[in-house]
Amino acid sequence: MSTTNSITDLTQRPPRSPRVRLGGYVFLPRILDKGRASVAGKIGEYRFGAKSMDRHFLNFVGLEPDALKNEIAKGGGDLELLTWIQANAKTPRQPWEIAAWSEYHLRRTPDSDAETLTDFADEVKKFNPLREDINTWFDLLDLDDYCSFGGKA
Amino acid sequence: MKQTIEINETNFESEVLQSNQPVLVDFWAEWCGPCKMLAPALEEIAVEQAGRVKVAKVNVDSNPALAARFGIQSIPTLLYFADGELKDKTIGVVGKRAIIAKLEKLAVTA
Repeated sequence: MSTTNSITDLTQRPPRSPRVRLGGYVFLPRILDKGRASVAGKIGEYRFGAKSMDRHFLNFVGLEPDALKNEIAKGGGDLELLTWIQANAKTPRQPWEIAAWSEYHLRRTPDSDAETLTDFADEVKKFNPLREDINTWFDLLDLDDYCSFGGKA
Repeated sequence: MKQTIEINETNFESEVLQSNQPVLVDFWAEWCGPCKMLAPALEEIAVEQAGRVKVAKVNVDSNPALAARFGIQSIPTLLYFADGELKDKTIGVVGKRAIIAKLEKLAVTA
């Protein structure tokens, strides 16, 4: 039975929600899903690494995307990869830092500049202009995942 | 223009411990939402109290040794220094009035 293929084909289903945690880190299970899909050549429209939102996690712990991808390619499970990340992060994080970082990203909105705000609003409008409840980046990612695989917003 | 000053492991001694004014030091990070909530109040205090009090900021990611030295376990943490000594501390988001009250107490005793 090939369980790997069933969880890494992002042309068929979305990665895990950014809200899902591993080791306290939000977003990390999603990054691993995208990494596995990238290794399998099944990443579809998603992006893995420094040019995606993955950079927030990679910068926070001090990891190079290629190093993480190489480790993912060895086929380890979530716990094995978390253990590797904890051992290889250039900036090992304390539990309180992980909790604060995760909380920040759970609530993070497009507050950096007017252009980003406009882009965010335009993205939401593509799905449904009436969705005023989509406020955070995680809200948008979840909505995008849902709609990308047939869901109606 | 920002009135708060950036503190690092190199200038901490001269800007904080050797300062002849009370110094409020904010330990913060980019990934800290409450720190961003607190930042405007600190900027206002830095402007309003210019010449009487210094308001300084320490990025814990850039200055882990300073964070460890003061046992920072949560951010934002505000440390209040006067005469080269740590006099007071608050953790979490604190109101501007409460911060000013602590600074005034330091200014009187400094």
